[in-house]
Amino acid sequence: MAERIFWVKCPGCAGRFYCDYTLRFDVAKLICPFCKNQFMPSESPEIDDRAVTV
Amino acid sequence: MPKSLRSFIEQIDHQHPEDLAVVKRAVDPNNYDVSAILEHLTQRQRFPMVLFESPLNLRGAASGMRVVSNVFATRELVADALGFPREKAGMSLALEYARLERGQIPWIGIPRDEAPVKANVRRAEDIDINELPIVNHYEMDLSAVVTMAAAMKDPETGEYDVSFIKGFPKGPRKMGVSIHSPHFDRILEHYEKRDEPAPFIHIIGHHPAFFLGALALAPWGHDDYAMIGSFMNEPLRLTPSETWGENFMVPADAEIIIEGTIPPGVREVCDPFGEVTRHYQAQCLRPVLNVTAITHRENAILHDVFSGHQEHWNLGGIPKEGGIYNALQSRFGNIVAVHMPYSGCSRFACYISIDKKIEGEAKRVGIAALAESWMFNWVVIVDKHIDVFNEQDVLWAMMTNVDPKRDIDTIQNAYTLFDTAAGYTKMIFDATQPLDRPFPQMMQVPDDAMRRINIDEWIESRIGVH
Repeated sequence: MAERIFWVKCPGCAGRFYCDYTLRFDVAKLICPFCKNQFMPSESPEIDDRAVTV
Repeated sequence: MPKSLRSFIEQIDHQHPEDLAVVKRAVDPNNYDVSAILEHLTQRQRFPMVLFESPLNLRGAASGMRVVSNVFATRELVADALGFPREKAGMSLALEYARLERGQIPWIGIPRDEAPVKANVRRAEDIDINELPIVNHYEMDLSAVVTMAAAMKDPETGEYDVSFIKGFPKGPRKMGVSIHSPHFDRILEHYEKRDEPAPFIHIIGHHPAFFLGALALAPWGHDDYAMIGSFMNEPLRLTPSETWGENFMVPADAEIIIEGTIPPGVREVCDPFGEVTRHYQAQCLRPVLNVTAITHRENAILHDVFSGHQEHWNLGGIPKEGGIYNALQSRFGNIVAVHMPYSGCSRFACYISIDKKIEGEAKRVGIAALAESWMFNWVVIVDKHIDVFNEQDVLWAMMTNVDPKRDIDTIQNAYTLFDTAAGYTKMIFDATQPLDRPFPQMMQVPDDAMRRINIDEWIESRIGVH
């Protein structure tokens, strides 16, 4: 924990969940916890990966 | 009889039946039934150990096993597990834990045919993790999760290490595993450098003293099985594993053991999982376990921790409070009590009471406390008359004694594991009364009056209204 995360929307069920930022750029297929759909982040219709601003 | 999870349940049923709730109806742990029952109890501020007698397995069929949770849900249950008086379940219990942490009792080996955990043995194609009643806890969790301890054996020292980890079922013979303790990290790294699979066992159910011992801060190279013996106050009984024989011994009195190997360099997606902070752990890559055997007792009890709740917090706070007290007391000599409150998930907040003699003393204690645990974001120092186990008292001290300009200090860029808004910022609150200027005194009923009045002799049980 204490790592950067990003929120992602599943292209299958539109469920939103979050991932460690190391997965942000298509290093592995994400697994939607709601429908088990597997997809690359680039396939997501909505990603929130804003960096912390001070 | 050697200690086991079922011997502890019998003990509570006999000595404190009010602290054991039994659910006889069929429950579906994979469909949140177990979590919902535990959450309802939490919302009612009730924390019994709960035994589910008829849980379904991950395939939705009768499992033939049982599930137990909330085993560590109160400090009194933890005291019971360690054979310590319930009425001393505050600071004294934490100091008892610190005492046990310094002990060792060598383990003993017994043959497989005498080991209760070998009553049922599954190998190779007969293995199916989905036959276990594993608990799915929260709505964003990726899957049901095994929440108990695991053991690994370092290839260089040959010593066993036992730590809590999470296991994510990923198929009949495959799991993701969260290797997140410093010693497990080191052991896995040693195997990966050799390009060898790492032997690994999940221990899903044992006497709670076993798991409390697994949380002890043992130095690298110590035999954790021997340290666990100190907590159980008897030699831990081990028996040869199915996969590696006497080269990897497993707890003979466990409820369920999953054996397997972690292939070097393989990582797969796991999580989210509702964690100790009440946030979800983000989805991430974790090592994989290829399961080689599952063994279990007759009518086995799958032990689960209700994560992000009181029992999870007790597993973090109680093992650390005593050690921190001892470290600070040896240095300052004025420490009264140390508590890691539930409000900080018993991880990232620490309340310390001191017998303050000079101004500025509290801040020194706070700085030293931050050095004792990288987990802390919030350290609050209060005077000796404030009960650190009474959060209302601690917050009162903060709100009346703290001058924000002088008594709050922050330290930037200091590592922590936990994802709170504080991030890597640590805070020290000096909530002691200032000694360098006249300051009001907290009111108090005279001590002799408190001692003179025995409340049970003065208050009648029925209130009559005439």
